[in-house]
Amino acid sequence: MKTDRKNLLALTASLAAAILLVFASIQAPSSMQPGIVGSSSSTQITSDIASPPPLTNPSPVVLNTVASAEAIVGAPLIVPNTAVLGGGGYQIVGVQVGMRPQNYTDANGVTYRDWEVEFVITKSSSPAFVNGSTLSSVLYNSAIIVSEAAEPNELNSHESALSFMAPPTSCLTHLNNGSQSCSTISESSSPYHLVQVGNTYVVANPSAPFAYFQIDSARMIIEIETAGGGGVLMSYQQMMNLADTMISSGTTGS
Amino acid sequence: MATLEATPHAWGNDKDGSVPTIGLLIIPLLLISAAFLFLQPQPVAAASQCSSNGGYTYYYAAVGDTGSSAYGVGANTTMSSWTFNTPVSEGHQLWYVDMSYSTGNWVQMGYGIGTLDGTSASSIELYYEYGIGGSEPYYAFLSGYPIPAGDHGYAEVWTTSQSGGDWYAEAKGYSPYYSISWSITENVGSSNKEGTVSISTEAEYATPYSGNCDVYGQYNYSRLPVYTTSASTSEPKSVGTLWSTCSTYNNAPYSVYVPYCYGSGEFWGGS
Repeated sequence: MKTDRKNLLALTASLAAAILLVFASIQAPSSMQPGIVGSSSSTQITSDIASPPPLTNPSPVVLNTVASAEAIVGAPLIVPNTAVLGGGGYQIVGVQVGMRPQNYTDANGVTYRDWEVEFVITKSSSPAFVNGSTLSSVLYNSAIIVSEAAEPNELNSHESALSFMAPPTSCLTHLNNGSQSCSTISESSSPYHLVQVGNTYVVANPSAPFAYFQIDSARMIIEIETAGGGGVLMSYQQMMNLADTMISSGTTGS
Repeated sequence: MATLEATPHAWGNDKDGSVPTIGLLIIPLLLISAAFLFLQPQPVAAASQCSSNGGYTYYYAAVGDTGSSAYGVGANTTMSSWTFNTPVSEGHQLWYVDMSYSTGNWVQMGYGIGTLDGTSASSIELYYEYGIGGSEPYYAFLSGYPIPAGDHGYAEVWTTSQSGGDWYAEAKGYSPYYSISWSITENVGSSNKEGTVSISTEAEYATPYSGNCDVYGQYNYSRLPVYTTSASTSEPKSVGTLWSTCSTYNNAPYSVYVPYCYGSGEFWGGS
């Protein structure tokens, strides 16, 4: 086969450019370049008014009964008393086991039996829940979630609350020499209040509403929130009423 | 018959004008490569007008691996083609990786420019944002390190070790140009550990605005997206698994593209 050399060169050059583009598009980032050190850095946290919805993949939800969830985790749960939420026909539709029991060694070297469950509470006006059929996008669009997790007996309730409320830690590392500077960054305004109920300390966000607390005697961390962060399913007072009864139950063992 | 001789030309023998042997080998490879080029998703024609009548108007694009619960996400991007036409005070553009926990809370790390709720970055900077505990989203820019065009950045978010019964999220962004990494560690509570992961672009117009959309080169190209399947102190880029499935949001005018997954911007929210 013969062909004109100039045409061949033009063809191969253009195709070579094409292949270079292809490879350029799939290459890992280039190696580090010599750095130009910035003069300063700041990490003030500021609230944002809105944010995009998460990309989710709706799937059928399978929930357990309270009894079967207790059997799975091998520990008694504190069942939320939905009656204190008042009118609206609140009901527990089931319990999701977020983490089956497993021995876990945490960052402090403490090994303990870890597990986590989530009570799903809906109102009578919410779409009827059909176990194994209702999609997560439907259920969690109008549900209150009460999660309960084992705690390793490292912190008391007050320490646990302060740990959760602590602002994030920021570190800037210069990779060429390994130097690192870290600081605790401040939020422009914390959304949390610290509320004491007996010897239990509740981190509460009135505007969400949201609550986080550790019940020492039950060795348990509890969070109350609206699933997906959307909808107005309960007021701050309703949430605190629920927290109060759970603290009472967890403290007395009733 | 063409023969290959020692020659300064990479193409081989050119004495008789015949196609050299090495050329015969290269041409099919080049044709195959060119075919791959055409198979890649191309930028779509996009609406050029973005507007806001005074509320918060968002354009949003995302691709994500939602096939399984993940404990972390990471991805590369190249900061090469952002054109921010909007006054800095009137909007923002972002590229970020997102870890959305099953509870609905989330943490993001990436790059941004513009204004979020009153604080501005007049040039592209590393950017961090989170929504935990039902609070309004909070964000931060790393000022002092304006990211230049062509910087090959990497951003990641993952669930790290647990302490005191709570999980911690770590977010980290890199600038090879400055040879820096910026990391933020945060207590995310006892129930936030895994969820879905995605790569997103976002544009917001916060004040009355009607004009040309800011440009990401029509799509923002992201490479080597990975996810992690267990909580780990290691970074996703070193322990992650390449995405196996992709979900996208579809609409114009913005889009985000990874080598085998292409999604375009969705209008949502608004005034």
